[in-house]
Amino acid sequence: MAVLRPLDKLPTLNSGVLLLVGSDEALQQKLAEAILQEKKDFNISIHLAASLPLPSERDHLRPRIDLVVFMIDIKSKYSLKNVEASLAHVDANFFLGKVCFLVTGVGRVNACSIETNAICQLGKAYCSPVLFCELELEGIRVATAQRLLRMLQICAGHIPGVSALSFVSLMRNSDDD
Amino acid sequence: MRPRRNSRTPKQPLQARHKSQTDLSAWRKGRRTDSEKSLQHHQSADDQKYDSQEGSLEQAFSYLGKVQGRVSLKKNSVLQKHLDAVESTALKQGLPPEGFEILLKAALSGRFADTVNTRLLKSLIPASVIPQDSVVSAVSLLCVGKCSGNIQVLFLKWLIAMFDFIDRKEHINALYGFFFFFLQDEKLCPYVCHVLYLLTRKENVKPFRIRQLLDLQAKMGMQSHLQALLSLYKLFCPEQVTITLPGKMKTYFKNSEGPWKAAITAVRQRNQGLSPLSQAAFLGTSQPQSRKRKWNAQLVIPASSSYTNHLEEVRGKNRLCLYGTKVSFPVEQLQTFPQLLQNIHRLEFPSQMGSVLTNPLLLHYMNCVKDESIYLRLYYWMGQMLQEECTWCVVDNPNEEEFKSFLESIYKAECFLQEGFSACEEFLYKTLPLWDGVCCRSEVLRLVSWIPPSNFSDIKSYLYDPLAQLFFTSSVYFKCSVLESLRQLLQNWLNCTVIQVDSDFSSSNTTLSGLVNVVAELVHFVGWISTAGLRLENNSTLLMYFILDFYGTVCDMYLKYNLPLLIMPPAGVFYPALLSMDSANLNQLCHIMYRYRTNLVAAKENELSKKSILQFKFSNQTYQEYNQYITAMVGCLWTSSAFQKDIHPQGLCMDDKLLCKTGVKELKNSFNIVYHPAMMGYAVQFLKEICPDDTTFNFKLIKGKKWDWYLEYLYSQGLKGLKVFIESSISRVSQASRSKAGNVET
Amino acid sequence: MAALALEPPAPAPTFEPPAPPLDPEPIPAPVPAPVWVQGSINDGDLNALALLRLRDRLKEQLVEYKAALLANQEYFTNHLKINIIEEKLIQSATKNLQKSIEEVKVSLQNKTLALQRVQITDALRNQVDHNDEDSRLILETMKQIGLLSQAVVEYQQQANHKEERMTDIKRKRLCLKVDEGQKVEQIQTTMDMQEEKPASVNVSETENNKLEQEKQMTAVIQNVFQNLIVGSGVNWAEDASLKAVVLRLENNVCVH
Repeated sequence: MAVLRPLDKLPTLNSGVLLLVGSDEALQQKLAEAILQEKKDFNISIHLAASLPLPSERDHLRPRIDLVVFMIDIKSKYSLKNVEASLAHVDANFFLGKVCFLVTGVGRVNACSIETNAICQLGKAYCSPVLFCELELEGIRVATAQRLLRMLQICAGHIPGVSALSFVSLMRNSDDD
Repeated sequence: MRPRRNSRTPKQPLQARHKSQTDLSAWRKGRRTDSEKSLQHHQSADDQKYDSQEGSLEQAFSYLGKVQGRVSLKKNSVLQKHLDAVESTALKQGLPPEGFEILLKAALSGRFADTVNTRLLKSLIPASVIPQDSVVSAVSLLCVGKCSGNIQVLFLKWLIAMFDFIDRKEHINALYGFFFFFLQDEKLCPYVCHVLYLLTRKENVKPFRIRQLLDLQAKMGMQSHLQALLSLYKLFCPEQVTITLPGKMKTYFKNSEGPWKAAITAVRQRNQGLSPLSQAAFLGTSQPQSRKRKWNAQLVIPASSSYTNHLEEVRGKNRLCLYGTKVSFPVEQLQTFPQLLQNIHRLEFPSQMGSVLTNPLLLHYMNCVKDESIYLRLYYWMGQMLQEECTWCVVDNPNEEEFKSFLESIYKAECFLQEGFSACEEFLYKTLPLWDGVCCRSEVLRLVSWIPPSNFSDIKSYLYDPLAQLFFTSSVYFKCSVLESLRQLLQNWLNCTVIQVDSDFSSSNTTLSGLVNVVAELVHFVGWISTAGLRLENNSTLLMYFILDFYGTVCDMYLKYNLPLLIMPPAGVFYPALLSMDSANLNQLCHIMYRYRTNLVAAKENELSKKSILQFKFSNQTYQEYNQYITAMVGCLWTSSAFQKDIHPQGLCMDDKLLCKTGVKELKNSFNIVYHPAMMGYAVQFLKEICPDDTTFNFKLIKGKKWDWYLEYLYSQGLKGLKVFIESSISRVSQASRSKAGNVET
Repeated sequence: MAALALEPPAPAPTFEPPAPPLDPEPIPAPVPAPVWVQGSINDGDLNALALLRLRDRLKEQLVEYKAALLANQEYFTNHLKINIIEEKLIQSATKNLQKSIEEVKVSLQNKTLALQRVQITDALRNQVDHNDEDSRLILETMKQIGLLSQAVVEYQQQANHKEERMTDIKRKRLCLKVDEGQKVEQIQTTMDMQEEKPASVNVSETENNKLEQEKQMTAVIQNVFQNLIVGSGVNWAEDASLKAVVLRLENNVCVH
């Protein structure tokens, strides 16, 4: 299946599924490990992909994906292009709160080759929050893992009264004016 | 110059070093005797190694000082050897003060090839300080102009990077005109500007220099380094620098620390031990034994007696020969409060501002002097420090502890001055979106509390938005810390309205009505994140404490801070507090509602008697909301009628059918002071006390006279908020409603 | 089981990176803690609380699917091309709707909270009357909570008290700051006047002007000297007397 849809599978009981899309595999792996290290009260599975679409032959094995995190390396224009191309393979319904852009590499502002403004515009266009971080630093990696985990919990429907859509509208309250 | 062998100082214990401040060689001798007496065998290989290193260093100095004619490195193994010796010592432990003159002369004389000169300059790292005379000689050689342009630039960069470590600056300032001359050189210009920026005092600003600068600026266009210098000139002579300069810039100068960065950190760390003692002596107070930090680097150098003598001498001469300035008092000599008072009209601030932050006397001075140039320098210096040292923005900066204590000292200075620094504000605006909310959490959030009130759209997009994103995605503890810091922010804003101290503040077109709006926006923002936060955290009691704390300040804005503004908490905060399982929450809510009442009553009275100078009226909405809430509260806690009579659209008024479905008997009473989930414990204890034999708890017994006893019991348990609430909001109808309440019970 | 699976990149468009061989099998994750039973990790059975939590989650997910179904019945946005004006209209309508949804949500939550609290306290009250092990435990806990609350309230009062004093001090500090500023300004003006006084007493206006002119002239001459020395390319630091002169060239002239 070419397009990734949020609700065409039933959720697994008490679990959350995260899809990390980004071109830096090592960093992805590190972040995934940091997320798995966190204490949580539900099962979590993380899928890593360099880009979308995901291969359709394994689709039947894949659980429902609750949150897609697009990782953009601020130092690499390629990573942004990669993400932009991948976005085409995501169903519009995903952008009702189940997508997040994670900008990495802010610790090397001098080496940055993408304007943060461009990324913010991307976030605005796709109605999805943009988080900035530096995954090379362990402390920030852990903090980022915790933040993503909180979002995943909400996206997976684990917080009563808070839907993914309402959460993303909280996060994006700023862009309205 | 008498060579002093003091290169080992850094490794010595503190007391010894303190003693050695004025005469290192004497100390060294003393230590030797000591070790000879008791620790002879301890005169270890270590010592010998140092001695041999010192030996080769001395040889290198004498070689580099004497060698004549152009020497090429490739063919000369002797030069190679000495160069290696200098470099390795410099990197390991820094060079002794006497080495600088020799090496600077060697590097700038043009005797060696540029590769050698570069290596020499790069290894000019002080063990402790750099004598100013070595710099004077170097500038003299610069005038001779035998070295290449690249070396000249490198020298200036070195001078800027090492500026803090130069022991005295007055001779360097005397060379102001010489540096100024080098502005003409296009390649040197940016660096010369930076040096001049560090050196400039009011006396240096002369009409012909202003003209030259303006010409240069016209020729080269608006360059940031020229602009920085001009802005400083403009501060000193506003009537002569008539051009308009754009507002504050992010960075005026390129960072010159480059090649020496690691080394500078090392020197600062080496100098660290000096601080607590010298500082204590300096301030006349005993300071906690904190680590020495780089932002008070230059205060490490105590005014030596010889320096003082020298100064006196100079002054004496000045009197005789008509030369001299309006004699200024260098801060290095400022040690006591009386001194500050005596010299307050002629204090001269250090060129780099780091020392001000941690020095109470200088802070006192800043507190009362409205000198723009001080603020501009502080702004520049602090902005650069924050940007370069920020641990979450600069990956290669692993030293979180150091950055933390830097932020801490900024915060303390802000508290002392009762105002925020604009450099700090900009830093927060720039880096909050990149912050993870963990690194230096309490320090950053404390700094947030000193952000000055400014227009809403700025504060919203730079402060509220990033803060909200962090708030929603972080733990409950982070949420609490954010609320606490916003409460401090509110209090700081309110305090400065009570006393319109700041002339900046009133001039920056922040009128009272403007300020009311800014405060109102803050309160609304907190109301919004609180509602969402309670939902995300499942009505956490802890979070509620912090939310109610915030409203504890809000409810008193009119009476305590004279601000014609009262805003009620949103229903998403009020009802969860009213229905709380925790009696402290409920008690706090009662107290807040009592304060709201007092404020509203006072406002109404002022409005009626027209005594009020403030022509603002609270919106009817506030009164209306208050009345709705008070109805709900009385309905819950007292008359047991909330489910019917609550008139708030988001309140508890519910259909009887729905209520029946809960399957709870006598549901109406559920939130009165006996049955309320937060009060049940008290009711149980009370029943135990009045009927100790009865093991079943008959809550219905609490009515009539026992109701009064029960109230007394609650008050005796410390629920003062409940007391003032009931006495103020219920007492007028108390007799009637109490009997009614009693009836309802049965 | 927590799992970390690598998705092999699909045979795909233009700028696919040279893909390293990726492991198509899920990697066993390092933390396999089963979670829903965290309330009773030790014995491993599902307690009531965990079940309730699961029920809440299922409900929440159900609501999500319901909403999606409902939304998919209305096609209007999918097939229309929207121009800018309409987009703005939709945006403002969205904003209004968000606001009213939020209001309804708060209302619902308040009412639900009230009902839940009613039920839970009722259940507690009934349980307390049973006079068994559970009721003793509940009573003991209530007692503890009472003591803790009392302590909390006490500390809150102390904190309030201290805060009030702090505010007073802050205000006094601010007042002092204003006063200090004025005082220092006074000092400055007084000092300036004192400096001018002897001059104006002893020296006439013209003499004063002359002196001022001379001062400026001297400054210019000093500057010329500085430039001369630089221009000459002399290593002036080598000559002690020349150095002494150089180091005085920045001093302003004044009379004592």
